[in-house]
Amino acid sequence: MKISFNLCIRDGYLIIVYERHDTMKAVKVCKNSVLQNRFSVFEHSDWIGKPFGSIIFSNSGGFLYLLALTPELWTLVLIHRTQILYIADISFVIMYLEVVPGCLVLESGTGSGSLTTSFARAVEPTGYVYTFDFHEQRAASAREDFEMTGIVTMGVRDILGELVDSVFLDLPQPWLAIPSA
Amino acid sequence: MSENKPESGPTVNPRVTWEGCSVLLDINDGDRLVFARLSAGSTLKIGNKTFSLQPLIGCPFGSLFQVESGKEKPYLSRFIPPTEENNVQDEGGCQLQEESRDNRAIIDNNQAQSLTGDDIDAMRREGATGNEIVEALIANSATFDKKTQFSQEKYRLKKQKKYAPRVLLRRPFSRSICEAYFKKYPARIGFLRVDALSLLLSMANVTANSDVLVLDMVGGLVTGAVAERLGGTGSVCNTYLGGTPYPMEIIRMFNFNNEICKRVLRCSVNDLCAVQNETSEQVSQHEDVCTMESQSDEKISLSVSTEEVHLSSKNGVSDLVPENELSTTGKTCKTPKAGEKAPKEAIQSWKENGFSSLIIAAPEQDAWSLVKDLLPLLTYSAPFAIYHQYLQPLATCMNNLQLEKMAIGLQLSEPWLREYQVLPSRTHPCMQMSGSGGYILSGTRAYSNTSQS
Repeated sequence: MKISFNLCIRDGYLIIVYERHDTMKAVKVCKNSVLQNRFSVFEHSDWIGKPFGSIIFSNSGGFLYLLALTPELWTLVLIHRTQILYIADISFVIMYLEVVPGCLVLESGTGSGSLTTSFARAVEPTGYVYTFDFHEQRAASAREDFEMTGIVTMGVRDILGELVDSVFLDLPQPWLAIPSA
Repeated sequence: MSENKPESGPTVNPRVTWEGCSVLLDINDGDRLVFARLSAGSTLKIGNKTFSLQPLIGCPFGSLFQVESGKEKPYLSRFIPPTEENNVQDEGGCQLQEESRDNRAIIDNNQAQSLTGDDIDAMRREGATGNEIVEALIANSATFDKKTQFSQEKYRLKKQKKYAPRVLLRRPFSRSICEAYFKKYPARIGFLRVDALSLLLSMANVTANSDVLVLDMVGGLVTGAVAERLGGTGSVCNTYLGGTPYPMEIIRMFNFNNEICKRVLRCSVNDLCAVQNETSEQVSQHEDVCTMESQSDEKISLSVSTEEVHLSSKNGVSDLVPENELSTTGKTCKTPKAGEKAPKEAIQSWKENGFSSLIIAAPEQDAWSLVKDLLPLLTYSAPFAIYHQYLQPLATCMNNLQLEKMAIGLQLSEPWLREYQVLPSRTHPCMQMSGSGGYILSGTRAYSNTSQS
């Protein structure tokens, strides 16, 4: 979703609600919902039609900013199911692995999907990220997250025999995986 | 390392060199880094000998070359190391073995080596390979056996670097180019270290299909890195204050194909801001004047490639095109050039939609005065990242942005990078570490109804 002056918040969008630099959350805009925080109650319907980056005031003087989703903001708001990578390391990894649009990246393990989201943005529109996790529940949660943030997911594929551009390993004992990498 | 993998999928990143491509040559494992353009006539100087780079054309990036003695003169030959090459691989044995030697008996009086310079030259003339010379030196050294194992390895490596230097063919990519420049000419890139560059790209959310506004006073490195991440989609607007664009010579190192080059456009800040306030008639007049002025001001480093002539519908401009076509480098190979003047349609589109992110890398300018003018060009909720070599200008800028409520999520970061030497029993940080990679101010543009849209 490309942000522009002409793009406004609509029902169904996933946006970032910013209270302070260390208090943010991801919210799916829904016509009939409300957001409650320590300031007051905010109705989602007030947000629809406003430009991104708008400030919304509450009756009691509190305020919120509504921001568009970026991988960097997603890393700060996602639910941690495992320890995640933050923007400093993510940027370093993407630079050192020389990931550009069109690349094929293998990632193991997915964890909470923080790095995966950044990889997906780096390889679009023509590249692919194959990410693996041995924990079924976390893999399912990651899949749900990807659907929410708009990353297109595919079914399981057999990738034996294909050549890849980059391999990223974040495992308890990575040296065991090196021979097959 | 992804460099050693064979070609895969779309040729976005070609993995094999071709005639006319630019490469980064890494001599003796990082001791010396040289940028070169491969052609039949190009050469490389190592020590006091010159080698032709012809053998490097058509080889995969990541290939190693070693100097070999040929019939007439030494040449570079492709060297494929066997899978278990060095004597370091018996790590298990290394660690268990107790080291009983030390250097108490070794006296440094320059008499340990019995081979003279003349002997070595004679060996070379007889066609001995570099490795053979190294072995001979070791065999003729009186003190070699008295050295500890680590010391022996160091000795061997030192001799090998001198008598059998190796050249690694590296692909120029934002990372390698930034590292090379940071090592050799850091001032030219404003002391922008590779981790600071990567942070800039991530914090500004540079991704495909976005329109990125860049104020690049670091030789084109940032513009090139952004163009790389866009991969032939979206656009990069390299903007400049005043009438003369900033030099962008580093972009030529990237080996960009036509598609990516087309996406790198230039436009002065005046042009971008002025169009905001005028009607469309005045716009086209103003554009004509500006285009003519800036084209005549442009240095020869900015050239217009032949395919793009159709963009200029104004008569005056097409006269200037033949002049600019003569490139100063005088090479016969046709490398596509990036950095053309942005056409009116692009500027219009940027006006309507706003830029999706902003990157400023202007180490000698005041950050706030730049941000003041450029931030309104961004669409709302767009991220931006500003690099500066020093902290104070960014701190002032951050303060002003907060006071004017122009941006939220402001964050001032200092990236930190430490390199380690990794060897069995000898893993430790390198002796020297860069202490100053610059600072980055990042944030997101907030909507305010007092700003023009």
